[in-house]
Amino acid sequence: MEERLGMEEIAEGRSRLYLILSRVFLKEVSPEFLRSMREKGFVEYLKGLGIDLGEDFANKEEKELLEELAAEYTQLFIAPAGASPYESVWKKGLLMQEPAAEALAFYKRCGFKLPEDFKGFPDQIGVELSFLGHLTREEARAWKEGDERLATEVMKLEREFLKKHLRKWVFDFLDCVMAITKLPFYREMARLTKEFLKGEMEDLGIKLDRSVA
Amino acid sequence: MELTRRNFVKLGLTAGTTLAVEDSLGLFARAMEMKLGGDGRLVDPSEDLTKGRRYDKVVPYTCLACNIEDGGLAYIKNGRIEKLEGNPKHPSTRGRLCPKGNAGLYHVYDPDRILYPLRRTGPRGSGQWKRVSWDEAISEVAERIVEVLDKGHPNEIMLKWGRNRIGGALVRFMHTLGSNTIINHTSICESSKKIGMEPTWGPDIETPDFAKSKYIINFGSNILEAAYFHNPYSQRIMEGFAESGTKLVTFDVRLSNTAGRSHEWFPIFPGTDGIIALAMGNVILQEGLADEEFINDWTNVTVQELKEHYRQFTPEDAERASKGPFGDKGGISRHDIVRIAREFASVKPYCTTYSYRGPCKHAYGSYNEKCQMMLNILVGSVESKGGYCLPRGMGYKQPEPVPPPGHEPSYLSAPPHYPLATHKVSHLVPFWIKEGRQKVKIYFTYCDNPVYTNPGAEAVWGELVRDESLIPFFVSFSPFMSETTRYADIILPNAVYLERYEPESMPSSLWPWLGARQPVVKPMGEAQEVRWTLKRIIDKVDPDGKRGMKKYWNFSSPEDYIRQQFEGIPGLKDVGGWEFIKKHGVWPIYGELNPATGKISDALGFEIKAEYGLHKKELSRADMRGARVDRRTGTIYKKGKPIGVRIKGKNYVGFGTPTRKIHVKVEEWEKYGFNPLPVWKQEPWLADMKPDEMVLTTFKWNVHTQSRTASIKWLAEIVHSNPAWINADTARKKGIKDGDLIRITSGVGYMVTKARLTEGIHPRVVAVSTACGHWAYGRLAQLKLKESQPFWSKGQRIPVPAKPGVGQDPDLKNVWWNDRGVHPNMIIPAIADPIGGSQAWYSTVVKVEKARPGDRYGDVKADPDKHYEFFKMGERYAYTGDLHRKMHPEVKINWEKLPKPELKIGH
Ligand code: SF4
Repeated sequence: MEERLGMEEIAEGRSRLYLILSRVFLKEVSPEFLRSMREKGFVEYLKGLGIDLGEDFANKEEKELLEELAAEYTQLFIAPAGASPYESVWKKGLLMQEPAAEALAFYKRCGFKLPEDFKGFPDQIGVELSFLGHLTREEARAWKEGDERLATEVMKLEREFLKKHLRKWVFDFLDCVMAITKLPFYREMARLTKEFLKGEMEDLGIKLDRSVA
Repeated sequence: MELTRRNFVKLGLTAGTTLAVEDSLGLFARAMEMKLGGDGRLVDPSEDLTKGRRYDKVVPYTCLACNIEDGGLAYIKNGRIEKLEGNPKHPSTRGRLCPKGNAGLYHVYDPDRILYPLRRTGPRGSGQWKRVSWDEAISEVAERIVEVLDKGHPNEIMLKWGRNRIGGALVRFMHTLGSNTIINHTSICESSKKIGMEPTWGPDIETPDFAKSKYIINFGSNILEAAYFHNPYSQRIMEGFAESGTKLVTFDVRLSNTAGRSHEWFPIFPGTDGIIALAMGNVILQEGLADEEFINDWTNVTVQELKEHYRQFTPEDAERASKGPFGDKGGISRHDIVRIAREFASVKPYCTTYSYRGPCKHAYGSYNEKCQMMLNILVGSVESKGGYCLPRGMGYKQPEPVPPPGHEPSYLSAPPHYPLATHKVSHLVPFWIKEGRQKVKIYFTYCDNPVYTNPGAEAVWGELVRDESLIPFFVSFSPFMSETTRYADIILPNAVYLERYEPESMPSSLWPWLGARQPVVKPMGEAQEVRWTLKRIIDKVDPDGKRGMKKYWNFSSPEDYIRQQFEGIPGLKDVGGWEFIKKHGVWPIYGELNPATGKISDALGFEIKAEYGLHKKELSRADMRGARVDRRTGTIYKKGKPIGVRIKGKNYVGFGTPTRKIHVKVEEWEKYGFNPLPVWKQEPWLADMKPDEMVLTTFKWNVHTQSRTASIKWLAEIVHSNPAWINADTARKKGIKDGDLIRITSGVGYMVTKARLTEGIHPRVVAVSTACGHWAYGRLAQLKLKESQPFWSKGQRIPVPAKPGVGQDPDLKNVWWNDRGVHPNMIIPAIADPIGGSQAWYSTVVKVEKARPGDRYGDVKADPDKHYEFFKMGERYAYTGDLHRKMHPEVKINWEKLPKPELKIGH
């Protein structure tokens, strides 16, 4: 794997990873998501990167594992007093404050919309990561079409969104997940997310807080 | 390999390609093509939707941060509540909310809200949950219901509510299932007040005309801060001070802000309001200050009878009682009793009493309530300008068809040994379940937190709901993880009050109104109105309508239900029905708020006038057609029903009693061996106190409800702890200094808290507020966030705390207090008024001492067995108990022939 990666590939790889991480935080692990992670060498690949999702994740009976993951997801992100997955809570101490409205406005102004019957929160971590997954996909498309100016503009938006919406809280949030979760899956996924986002921000020239170790 | 950027990209490009991420991929759709504009820019920054107008819309609603039900306006921007204010069209509220109301948006945006259905996965109370879909949760609940129904015992399904303002759907649900096991919360609140009043004049509450009153005697009510209708009423009392020269005299064990704002305050011994009112009544009667014509015309007794009856209640006796069994300082002198009685009567009928809800929270609280009400009857200030008026409410409808009650009577709902307590005796329910008096298989809890708010708390209700053999299935509709809900098996999160449709009407001023709540924002997450949840449960229980249940749930949305409730109401119909209320929040609109006067003015600019003398409305010819007048009583009957009363040749509608007169003498009480006339009885345990003992009472702050506001930031910052108020003299004698740790020991347990020394309390009383000291109900209420700091503080990394959920809330950095208070209910025994069924909150005998070695602030211990003993002791005062007759030697009836306790479908 020594070949040079083109801009299009980079954007696409990032996009996919954003979408994967988004899926982790968006809702409980579904049977399909679990199977795809277990079957297609994802676990092994992560292991190669030093990310170990644990024995249970690899071997436990599927139904039992899904139950366990779902209970942990609830404990972390749904039941009171877990690791709140909402930007507004970390920034304003309440659900659905300005950051949520601003995130929604950001999506709109980039030409994206959430489904009509969307009952979630626009500033939930999974939604914000999904949005970045979509933005980077647009970037990849632009590169593919050779539209460098457009790609650069999209990258500016990525940068703006990361800076405005994720920089200030996401690392504290991920630290919190790592600190309180009982399952290696969420701990390691939080770690992966943290490292990935650090890299993203550094690469896009966003200065990280001193607190991000 | 390492976690490098290159590896991340490769991870996405290789392993990541096969993952099933449709959920995140499908989350966003493109609304438009992404391409550069003519100016070379990708997006137009001016499209930022967060800028622009100050508010997008203003939505009227009815507040339910507490039960006063004020009219509010929600200012909405980008789908978010920016602020809440009073509705200036509301005749009671007049544009003003109290602090709890203003802070109402915190109920919506509380980060500790429950937003999805949860199923318990660990042992009860372990805090282990799994999110489930609505469908799954409802199917499970429905299955459990079907199991019970198919065995033929619908009463084994119990529903208990705390604050039920949803317009009838809870009762509809229970009756649809055929269950009568419907339990409320009234016995920990005002039930004995209601029972003191209802048999006497019909309604369960009064609406005094404070603004026009010249004299108010306030018995145990913190009316400027916390009592019923405190927001509308405090406005009227201030108006009275400014414009009517109103004098306010307050009897309260504690110097509340109301007492402080009164012209006179008397710190009386708990529960002696009744004897003081009787002594004043005696003065009024013997000195000829009564409105004798009113008494003779409008009551079922004569002045002569009353004079004879009242003679026994002397100011001397009242003075003695008011000081307490040891003649402490405080109380009221006989001279003041006489003086106040004269002053009160001298301005009749522009005078009124008020009581909420000190006097009635005693074991003979119903008597107390009646005694104070009598003062108004004696001087004839009933329904007069400036007087003691009837409540003016308005009704809405129940969608047709309405299910009939179940077939079987429920012991828990209508306990046979409390036949007069028609507002139930709910706080004793755990003991009765434990004793097997009625079985419960499913317990639904709605807007209720008995493990915190009821006497005994964890040691009584906690004992009950922890025990799966007593409560096999426990379902909560709560949007918050309360002390009670944390024990639930399934949580079906309700929308909070600003997200719901609910009809309202409250007699909170002399202008009757109808109003409603409507969602000012959409329910957060998957929270859903309980009415809709109930419908979905019924749809699952009776999918094909074969059980005959579906027909009672014939509405297409929560709004459709409320629309049906407001259909066809005369007057409202003409202006647009529900749509009118939706738009204005309230109907009728009497006028505009005049900012200069703070009052509502009519179209011509004059202050709107109240109607008085509702009982003196004359019956029309048409009303009288076919009517019959009882010669002896004057009661007018039509089709067997009393519709009015003939007095001096005039046909009046009268009062809501069987004779349409005021029943000073309540015969129904006598039937069960209670005194039918106004009397005062002191709890024997107060009369027999030992010199080193004190009485524990509780109270409510202006910024808090009993249990639902401790996590509201604006309010918690104002009040977050509850030191025990204790008289400075008393404390000195016990060697207690301000701020000292003290131990308060009752017959069932003890608590360790801090002392707050004050002159503003009766020397024999220790008072602890109930709003603080949570052990659930969100992180702020428990001060859990304070236990650990954010991850970074002043440039220094703090080790990752072991407590979950820390560091998230930036407001927590501003929490400057580290005292969450100590809750007293665990050490308060559950005892019921044998007449009205009310919990005797204000008569717990305790010992107060300096904390012992090893005592820690916040220690609370209570023994469930001791609670049980107290409950048994309390039942001995019920009419079936062995102490009842001893307490009523003056009642001359055939005591051998008391009615047998009867299990009935009833209240
Ligand atoms: S008194 Fe306060 S909390 Fe209660 S209804 Fe009125 S505004 Fe709301």
